[in-house]
Amino acid sequence: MPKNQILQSLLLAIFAFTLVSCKDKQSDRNIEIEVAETAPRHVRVLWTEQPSNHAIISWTTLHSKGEMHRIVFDTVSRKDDNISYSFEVKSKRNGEITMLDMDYEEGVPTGYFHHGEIKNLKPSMKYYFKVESDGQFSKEYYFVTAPADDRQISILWGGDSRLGGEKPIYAGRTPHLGRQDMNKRIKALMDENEEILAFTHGADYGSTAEWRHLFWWLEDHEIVVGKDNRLLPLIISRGNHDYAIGFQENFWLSTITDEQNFGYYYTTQLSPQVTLITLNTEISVAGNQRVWLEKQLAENRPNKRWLVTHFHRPAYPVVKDYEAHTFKRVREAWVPLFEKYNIDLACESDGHILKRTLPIRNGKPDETGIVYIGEGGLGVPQRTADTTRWFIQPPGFAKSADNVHLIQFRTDSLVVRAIGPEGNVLDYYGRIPRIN
Amino acid sequence: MCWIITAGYQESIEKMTKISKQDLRLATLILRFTILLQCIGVYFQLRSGSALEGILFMEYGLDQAAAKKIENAIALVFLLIGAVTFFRSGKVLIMIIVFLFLFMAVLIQRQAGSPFTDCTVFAHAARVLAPLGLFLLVKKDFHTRKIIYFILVLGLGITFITHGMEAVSLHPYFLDYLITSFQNLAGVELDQHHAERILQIIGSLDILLGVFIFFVRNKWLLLWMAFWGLVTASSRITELGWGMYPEVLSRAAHFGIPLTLIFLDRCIKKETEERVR
Ligand SMILES: [Fe+2]
Repeated sequence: MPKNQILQSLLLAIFAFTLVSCKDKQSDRNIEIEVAETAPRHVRVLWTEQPSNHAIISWTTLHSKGEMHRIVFDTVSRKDDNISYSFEVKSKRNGEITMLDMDYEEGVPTGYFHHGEIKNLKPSMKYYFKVESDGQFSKEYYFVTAPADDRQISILWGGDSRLGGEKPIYAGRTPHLGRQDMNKRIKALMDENEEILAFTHGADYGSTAEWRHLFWWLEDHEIVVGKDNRLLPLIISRGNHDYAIGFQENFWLSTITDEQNFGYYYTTQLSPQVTLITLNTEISVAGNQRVWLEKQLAENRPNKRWLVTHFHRPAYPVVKDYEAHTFKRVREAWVPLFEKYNIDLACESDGHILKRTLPIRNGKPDETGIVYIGEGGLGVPQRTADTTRWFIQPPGFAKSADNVHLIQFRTDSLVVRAIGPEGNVLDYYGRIPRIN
Repeated sequence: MCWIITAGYQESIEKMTKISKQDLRLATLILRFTILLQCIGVYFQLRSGSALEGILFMEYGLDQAAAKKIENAIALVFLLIGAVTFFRSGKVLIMIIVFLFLFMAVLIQRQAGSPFTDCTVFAHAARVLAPLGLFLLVKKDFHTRKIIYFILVLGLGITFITHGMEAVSLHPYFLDYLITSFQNLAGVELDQHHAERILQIIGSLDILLGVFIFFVRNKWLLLWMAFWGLVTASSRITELGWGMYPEVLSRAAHFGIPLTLIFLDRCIKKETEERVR
């Protein structure tokens, strides 16, 4: 009898394991990739620490790694004249994007990443560029570098673009309509407002950072090309669904990636008076990163009008368990520093909801405290908030709505608007500078 | 292992000496208590939100409230079965618990979204195999007890080795347990560099212990593993306070299994001696 029972137990366990490991094998993807397509695609600009004089340009080739990859650029448009660009740089990193069995099963084509750096740029300047892989040029795009003067600037910020759409189980195989709608809105916003300098992503791009997810994220991101082929530089962060190696492969941040590998925390000087600190909740929050954060806050706070942080896992979640380890570790490690150095705004993602907290200090409402906005709405299915939480009582709030935030850094005020896919303003918040 | 079972020994518990019976009762009691603690821990984890709700809502498009209801219902099943199996031997209920613990591990692994979730099924080996051990412990023959010993060692060993490998690979949560616990308990500022070295030493020791346990039957080794299992499970509390208690309870097998093994081993040894005599 024990023999039978052991066999039964094992069979039951194997059955259970197999059952939950099964996945839907539907194949109704309606976006066909041309097999012969080897021209550069997914062309994007990434900003890191000094966007007034530096940028990273990345792209993908499909099916073939190729031999020669370079960026040609200029401060004037050269349109179809590929040989007249004044500057060129060779790509610094090229390689095959890791493919797992599931990536092959999902039918995404083999991809190759290419990253180059352009340096010594002039501030507030339009840079026109093309990328070239083995003689195949991309379209001409342009982006604008960050200013070196104290002008009014804006950025877009939002997080969580994984899953969604009509059949959400494997977005990509079916189009991720929610994400595409938000990308259309981001494009519309950048076309309406040239003051918007960059698009800051609060992470969780896809369900994983494996190619079957990032491929479709990059395909959808191609919607965000503005008038006259303007690209909005990306400021990226890493979330809890971005662990896979594909993240490093596709989002290379030069020395930041080379030195920290999984790190992805850095300070972006958006203008002489605006500092954005990108943090990474997926590595140690109490170790080197905390020491680094305190140093950045201490250096920047005394002489920057606006000091903003953004990171993925929220310190003040409005959906998930407030006491969960994932959030409490962020609250314990970083919030005391935010309060000590009086940052102006904290941007959080992960919860799949729209929120703005009351100003918080020492774990309670305080007019001098920190406001946390969030919590992820770039097309991800929206959850429902626990409206009883003290930190979203009026004038704080939470609402289930896809959103992207337009953050405007004026000389006299910081203005935050949460904007829905239709362009409707879902929330408005303003504050005056803490320092003169 | 099937040959052991079919060897034909069907001894009844009545044939055991009083002392080995006591050891067996203690082993059973500890294992029941371990499973009860695990179930209470998982109950609170599920109530506060888990991979289950995430997958039902995000991937299967279930209404969030409905997903939460299912999650709460399963939480209640854990709690009820944990309580019932503490008092009585219901084989079907115990097998349901084995299935549920395995199910939860697979779900967490499938959903990903935390460091090292790829290893979840292995990391949860102890908590999955603890109730399987209890399931077999209900059988009262000598050779089944040997199999139980092996199953529990298997669960404990795999969990220790997996956690050891995560520590050697510098699991970010483990780093923060160390850094913040040092600060909270001893007022010592441990920098990340030193925390990483300590973690690698701890991880290497865990791997060694996890391997040793398959070959060495030693009370002191098991006692150390019980102590260490409790310390590491409690690191969530020393890092972030008493509110983290469900995290400790759900890891009860990390200290409960070594304690069970101590008494089970004593029982088996005494029985073997008697058989030789
Ligand atoms: Fe997330």
